[in-house]
Amino acid sequence: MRYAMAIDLDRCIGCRTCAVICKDHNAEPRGIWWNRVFSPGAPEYGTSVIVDGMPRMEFVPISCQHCENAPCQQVCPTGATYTDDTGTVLVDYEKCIGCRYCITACPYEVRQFNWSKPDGVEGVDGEYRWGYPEDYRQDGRLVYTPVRPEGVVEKCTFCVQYTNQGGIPACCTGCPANARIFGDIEDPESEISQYMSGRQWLVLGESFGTKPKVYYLPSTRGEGE
Amino acid sequence: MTEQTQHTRKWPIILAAVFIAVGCAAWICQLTMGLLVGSGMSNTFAWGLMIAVFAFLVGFGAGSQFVASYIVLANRKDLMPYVKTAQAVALAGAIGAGVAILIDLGHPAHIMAMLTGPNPTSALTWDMIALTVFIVIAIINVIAIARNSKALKFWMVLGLISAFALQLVEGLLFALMEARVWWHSFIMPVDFIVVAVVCGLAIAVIVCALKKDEFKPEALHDLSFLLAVAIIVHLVLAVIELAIVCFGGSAADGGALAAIGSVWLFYVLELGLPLAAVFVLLLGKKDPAKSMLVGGVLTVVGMFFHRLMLLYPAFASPTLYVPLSNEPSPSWALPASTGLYNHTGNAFEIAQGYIPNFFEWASMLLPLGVALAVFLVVVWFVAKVGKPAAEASGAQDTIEVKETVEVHESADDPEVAEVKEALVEQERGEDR
Ligand code: SF4
Ligand code: SF4
Repeated sequence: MRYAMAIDLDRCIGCRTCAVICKDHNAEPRGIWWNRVFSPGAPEYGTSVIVDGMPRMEFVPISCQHCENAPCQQVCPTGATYTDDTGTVLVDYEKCIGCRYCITACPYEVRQFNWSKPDGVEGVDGEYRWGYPEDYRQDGRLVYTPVRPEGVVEKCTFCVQYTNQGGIPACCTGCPANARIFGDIEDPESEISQYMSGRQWLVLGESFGTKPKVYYLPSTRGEGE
Repeated sequence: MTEQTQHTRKWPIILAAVFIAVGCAAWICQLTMGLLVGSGMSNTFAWGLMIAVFAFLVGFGAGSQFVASYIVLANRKDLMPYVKTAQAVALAGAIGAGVAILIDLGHPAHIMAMLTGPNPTSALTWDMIALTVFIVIAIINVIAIARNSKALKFWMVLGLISAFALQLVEGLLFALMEARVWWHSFIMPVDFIVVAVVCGLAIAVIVCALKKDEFKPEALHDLSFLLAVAIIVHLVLAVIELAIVCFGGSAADGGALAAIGSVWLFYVLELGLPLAAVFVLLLGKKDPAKSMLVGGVLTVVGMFFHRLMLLYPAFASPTLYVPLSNEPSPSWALPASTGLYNHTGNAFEIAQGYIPNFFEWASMLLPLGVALAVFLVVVWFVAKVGKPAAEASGAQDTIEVKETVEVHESADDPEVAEVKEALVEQERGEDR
């Protein structure tokens, strides 16, 4: 079994719901984003770029690519970063020493560090916390906790707390355009295999040799223009 | 001992104590307040000043081991008085570097995970092993020097190998990062070894210049010349490193160049100061000792900027470039989440600058203070160990007693005897 995700760039409308729902379901502390959506060429927010004299705008969502050949895992000195049986790359919060070597090794800049004690948001009657409310352990390893320890690294887990219980990642549930398709890429009958069948796809940062398991179906806009 | 010598011996101890106290206080502040306010780092610029200090100190440690081993193994009797100091710097630099890497950790409480389940594919694991082995061998070398051991040459060979391995691993720790074009080349491990030689020789040149009366002018000249050659080799490697990025042609290469441009002054100082040192060392014939001092200091400062410049081109530039679909369009960097929200920066940035903040500068004093303290302890230990026998027998001149023992011990090995004689000479010089 190999979990993977396909992202259809023709369908993505750049609404960033995936980024927000991810932050919400995974109790990402302030300042931390596992998921980001940008328009290539736009310095920060989605603005169009001029290509051949014409404005173009396309959205590329990026989160952990769950690389088959993950440099983050290779460099992690404690084995805190590991790949589980489904091919999902996870971080055991109880083993991470916060050396940040994995951040330097990841070409996709998706790893996030808890630079401070996680901050909650002030609610009406005190502190308001959000996200899946309980710890989630995989074979004893703490791969999700709603209140993060300070000084550890975190990133997209494909929503391990849901996928291990038969669900799908929150970004796939939340995407209003159905641009994200998740499933077992080794199963030809799975939704993702069916969706990708016969279609062109690409991976980001192919030259790094990381073999990502997030596949991008390029936009057909601009084709043959 | 005069009042003045007592005074000059006291101030390094006071300095080390102050450095350690201030460094500890700053580190505790960082631990309690969190690195968000305790540092200028971000998710995109994830390694900061402490990593530069780590590489800086480890360079002096390994480099001084190179120098100590060279003097003993090449039987440079004229430089033998420096061996003790070189070995002390070797151990001090390595322990200081270890402290730097420990206090850089975000969650040091989990450190046991590294000892109980080290990941063999990680260069940081290799680094932990290489640094530990280096420190153990350096300690043995200190004892061997102090006790004028017959096996000194053997341990110096091991010291040389461990220093070489340590610098190789340090270089690989960076060079294996394919995501960072500034590091990902064969130059990195080679230059780590050369820079260590530069650092070791720079300290040797400074110390020997300060104690110029203990050395023959030819010995001092040799040291200056060796340092100048090592600097030139390093500068050639630095130029090749720059050329690789200049002619790489990728968007990431362009990003690294832009990052260099944003801190061009650091880069100019990194290359300019050691280059100036070469001229001073080779051309300053009027007052060689003064030229050595100036050249050595210029080199040390230049090497600090060199270590800082490990970081900027690697972290202040994006790693991932994405094109538009179906367009031969240029590749563009996507902004990354910086991890900053209400302090110093935007939530998302294509590239994030870095200015170490007050707490980082202050906590940098901890590894430097520990290194200085270790250096002082080693010097004290080496001076002390030879003495009890003499003191027990009531003899006033400890060297005489040592000499008798030494000649007896090494009668069967003329080479060892030579080394020891030179060490005795050194002690005489110091006692004078
Ligand atoms: S995208 Fe980055 S964090 Fe995710 S598996 Fe690949 S290297 Fe690791
Ligand atoms: S920061 Fe944590 S997960 Fe990343 S390499 Fe270090 S120990 Fe591993």
